[in-house]
Amino acid sequence: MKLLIVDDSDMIRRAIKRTLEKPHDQIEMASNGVEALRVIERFEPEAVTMDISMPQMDGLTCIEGILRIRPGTRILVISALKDKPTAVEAVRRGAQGFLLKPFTAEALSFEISDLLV
Amino acid sequence: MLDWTRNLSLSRSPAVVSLKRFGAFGGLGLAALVFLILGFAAKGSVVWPLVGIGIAGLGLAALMSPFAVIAEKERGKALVSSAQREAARMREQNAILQSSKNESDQILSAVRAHLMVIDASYRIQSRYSTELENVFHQGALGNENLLNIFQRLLSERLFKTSRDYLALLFDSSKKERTVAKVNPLDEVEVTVTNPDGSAGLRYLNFSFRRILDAGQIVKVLVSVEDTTDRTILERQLRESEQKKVKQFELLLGILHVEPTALSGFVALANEQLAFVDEALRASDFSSAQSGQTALLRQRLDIVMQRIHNIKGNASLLRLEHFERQAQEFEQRIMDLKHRAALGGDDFLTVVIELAEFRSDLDDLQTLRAKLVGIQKSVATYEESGDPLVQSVTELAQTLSKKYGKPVKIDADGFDSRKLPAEQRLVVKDVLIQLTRNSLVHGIEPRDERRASGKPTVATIDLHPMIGSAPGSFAFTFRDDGRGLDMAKIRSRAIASGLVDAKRAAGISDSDMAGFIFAPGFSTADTTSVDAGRGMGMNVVKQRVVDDCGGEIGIGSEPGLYCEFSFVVPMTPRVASGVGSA
Repeated sequence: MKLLIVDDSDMIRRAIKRTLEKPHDQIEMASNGVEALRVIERFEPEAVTMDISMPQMDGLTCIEGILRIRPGTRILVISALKDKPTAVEAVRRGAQGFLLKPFTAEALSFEISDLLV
Repeated sequence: MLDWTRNLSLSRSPAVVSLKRFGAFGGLGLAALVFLILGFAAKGSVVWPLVGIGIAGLGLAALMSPFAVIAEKERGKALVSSAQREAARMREQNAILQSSKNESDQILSAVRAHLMVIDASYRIQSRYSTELENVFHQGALGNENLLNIFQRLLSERLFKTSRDYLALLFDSSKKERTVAKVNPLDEVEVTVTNPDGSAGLRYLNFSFRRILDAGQIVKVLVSVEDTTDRTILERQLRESEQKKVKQFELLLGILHVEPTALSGFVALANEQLAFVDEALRASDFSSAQSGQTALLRQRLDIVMQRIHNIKGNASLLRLEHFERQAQEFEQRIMDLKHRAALGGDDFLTVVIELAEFRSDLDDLQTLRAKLVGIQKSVATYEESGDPLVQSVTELAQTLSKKYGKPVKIDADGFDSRKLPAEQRLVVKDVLIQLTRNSLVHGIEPRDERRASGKPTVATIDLHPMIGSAPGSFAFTFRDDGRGLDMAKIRSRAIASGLVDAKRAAGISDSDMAGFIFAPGFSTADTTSVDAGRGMGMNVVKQRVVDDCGGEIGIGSEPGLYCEFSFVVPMTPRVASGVGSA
């Protein structure tokens, strides 16, 4: 599986990577939306985990950008935002999954496998 | 829960027989199912749509069979020769449908969630739980657009989100599970008009299930639960739990403090809060004059100084709760200070914070009284030496552990016990501040000290000054840390606009050092609970010079030491208070 992890927290990026990484997986990471779009151009991941509140370009804008460049990409929003309107907006813009921070390793693995079904 | 199997016994309809198989399922799922099927039946559909329902993963085929039989008989109607027999059969069917409808009515009125079905244009279908009319305070919901109801009940932002959300529900490219997860209406606060005309607050929980026909989302089942009582109860429970936990923590947090010291803290905090009150009550708040922002900023500085002082004292006694609370209070004031414009309304948060602080102080006072009772019966407190020196030593040790900088206090000959209470408080405030500053800024980390050939354990010297003027209390405070960083002080003074670069070039180091007493001046790159806001030295100056009419001297040698000397007159001037600030 090719996966891109987008989150402005280095700690969370590494935690997600540790949880999901299996042999033969290719995982790349980006710390904001702008960086994510640059990675998407060359990396072509099947799945993306996406934070919402990030500097430079927020997750909502980034979701749209990613799907414009690679329409089939599956996006799982992982956010600490309890703000419902933002969550609805993320799904409306094309995120296929939604996971609230803090999350367990099991929940994350489940969401990713559900994303790829 | 009701026993659905038994309640469904009145009809001989095969549908009911099938339903009995689902007796083990939750009442809600079953109610929803009955509701759906009968809803369609009541509209007189002949061909039954294959209804796919997400509820509890039901084996729907079993339910479809009776209707397939009906449909087959319908189709064979032309072949039946006896019109009477057909009419009788129809009557029988109607009777079954009627009794089933009664049945569904019973179920709908018994379940706590109220159900309705909406179509793709969000119109409520004709069969719905009548209780919904009470929930929405609106009659005749059939054919009403759910969006209209949302518009009436919800805030504008939530209404817009709900409109987007309904679109997602009917969008087959979105997974139902994901859509369910972002449901914005799972606990919504709505304002309704009570029968007596007053406005009431209710909490509603909406949940949605898609209804599929041949893979297409044709309708959505909406269940609505009024959770007001539960929500309010939960909230009350949470609040009372929090209060209990807080009181307990407060009690644990003061057990180590000697009761008279606690009393002193409460008195000091109340005195400082009185200044804050006065600053906040000033008449300038109501006026909308120009330059008000600058004026209000000044007020904020006063509030900040006083709260900072409380924080210092809380930290001295290791009253963590109050230290934390003061820190948060300071943060709120800093946030306000950074606003472009300030109005009286902006101070509401400060006033609320103040009220909380005061209520906690009251709690502390009550707990203290109880504590005195307990401690009297357990042991008697023995005083050994100047308790102020003891407190400063404890503070230094706490900070020493926190920052990993070993330190010892040498306070030979220092004794503040004979000072009048007011001067003693001043000296205490000064010592708290300087001890923090030394541990945070002045004293180097162990490795750095070792590298520069200094003893790894730093020393803070606290000594009376010999030969000071009679009628005054004079002492020096000296640490053997890195000394004042004059280059940094110079650049910060210029950067923060206290002096322009040209003039600064002509100012000597010893004059430049005086800038550390300016409000908001800090050379720390980060802010912590112990230092960095630049209020500390300003408080020192305010207490010694402004409040008491005393004097402060500074001496420093780079890499070797920093020393402050103080002369505090025993007979103070009239307290400066807010008016002169």
